[in-house]
Amino acid sequence: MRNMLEKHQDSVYAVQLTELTKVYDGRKIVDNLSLIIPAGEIFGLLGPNGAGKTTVMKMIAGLTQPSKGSVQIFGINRDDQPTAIKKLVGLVPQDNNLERDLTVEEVLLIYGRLFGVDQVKHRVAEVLEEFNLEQSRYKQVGVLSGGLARRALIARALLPDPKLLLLDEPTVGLDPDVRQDLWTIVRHLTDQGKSIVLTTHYMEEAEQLCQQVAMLRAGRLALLDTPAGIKQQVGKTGQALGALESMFIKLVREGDA
Amino acid sequence: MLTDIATVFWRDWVVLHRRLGTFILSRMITPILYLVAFGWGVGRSVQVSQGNYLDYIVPGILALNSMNISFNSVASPLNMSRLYHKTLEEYLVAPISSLSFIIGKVLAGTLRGMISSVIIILLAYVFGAKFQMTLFFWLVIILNCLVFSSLGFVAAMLIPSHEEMGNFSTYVLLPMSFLCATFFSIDKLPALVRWVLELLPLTHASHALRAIGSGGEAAGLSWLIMLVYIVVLLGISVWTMEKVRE
Repeated sequence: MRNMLEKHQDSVYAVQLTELTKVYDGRKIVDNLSLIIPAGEIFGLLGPNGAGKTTVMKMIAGLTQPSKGSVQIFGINRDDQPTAIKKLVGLVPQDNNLERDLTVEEVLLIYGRLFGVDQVKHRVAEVLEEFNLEQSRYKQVGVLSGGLARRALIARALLPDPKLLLLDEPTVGLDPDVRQDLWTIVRHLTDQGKSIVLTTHYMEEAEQLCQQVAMLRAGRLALLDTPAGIKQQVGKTGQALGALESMFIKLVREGDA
Repeated sequence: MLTDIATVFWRDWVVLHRRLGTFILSRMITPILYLVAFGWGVGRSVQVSQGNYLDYIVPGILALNSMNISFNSVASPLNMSRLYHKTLEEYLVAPISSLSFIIGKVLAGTLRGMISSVIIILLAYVFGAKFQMTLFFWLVIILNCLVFSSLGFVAAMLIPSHEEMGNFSTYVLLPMSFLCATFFSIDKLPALVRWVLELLPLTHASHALRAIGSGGEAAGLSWLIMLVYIVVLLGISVWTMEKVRE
């Protein structure tokens, strides 16, 4: 097992999805999706509502079992080491699922202990400082603002120092200044060598942050490219922001047709 | 595994500790009402073979109250956690076994059931009830709490809405509260009804507590049935944890 877990050090990709399929009540939410997500980059997973983005994230995180296909994380098949591999992955869910009855510090302590973090109190103090949460340390999660709660969610996911961070709609519903603040945090994480997969509805966000984006439509891969490549495909001379949005709208309309 | 169980348990203890005063006060209301209504009220005009009716019903009240508290301490919050708050996901992504999570939750529910049982015992003494408390008496209460915490876990993981959780309590727990030898002996009930009730764990918890409380011994069958329920319900709990990932 140790050898398998050390394998991720040399892996050039963070995630490899092979013919990944998820069926709920007879309906294919994710359909035969194969995708390679490089290590050390920010990778965007885009698509309209119901495209299967969150389900893909859940399958990578191990929250949901695929109906078919496989998930490899840093070269390790999830089915081979389902428990050990969880230490490599941090998930920031779309909804705030911090326990409202607990303080920020208690949430982090529990999470750290569940992940077997060494010197957990020291590590919690580090993370609180890193995410400017020290003043909210003894506050119950239920009273946190949206921005602070989002910070706490990211801090919690990063507490066990995962190599891969999954951000599911990380800035949805946040004020523009808080969003900018979180973008800075995300960029800083790749400087630390983290691999990041994020889903977003904001084309601007994908444009600003991602080295590569995949667009999903009805659970299938509709497009995989860099924002610059998409700009070229759209054939615009303007900003790539417009290109990504144009491509998104085109794909959605093709899907509806 | 022990660390993981302790962490899950600790989470519930932190929440309980923060609300301990409210918890204790709220848990006194129902037993006081039972003791006043059935002990002082009805009980003064009722004589049972074992003697005083108050002494007779205290084990029954203990059994049904520890059932309700253990069940509700696990079922309702866990159901909300799974369906609405999504806090269960925190544990599903953590590298801990399903069994560690289940045992942590079930023990936390058992603790709450035990605290409420202590409250009832103290109140029963205040009301003048007389019964013997031995180690086995406490063991029966612990087993009863474990049975219904485990049932609460299973219900929370399988029932698809919080509203239906209420229905489960109405259709399953409420009838048991009154029929499982808590307030009256089931000996005079029709044979078929008695046979069904003898299959239920609360009947055996009531029988066992009453037997030990009056200076006797609990039947081997009562111990066996409660243990079988615990093992089966824990097994189903593990299955529900796998099912929730589907």
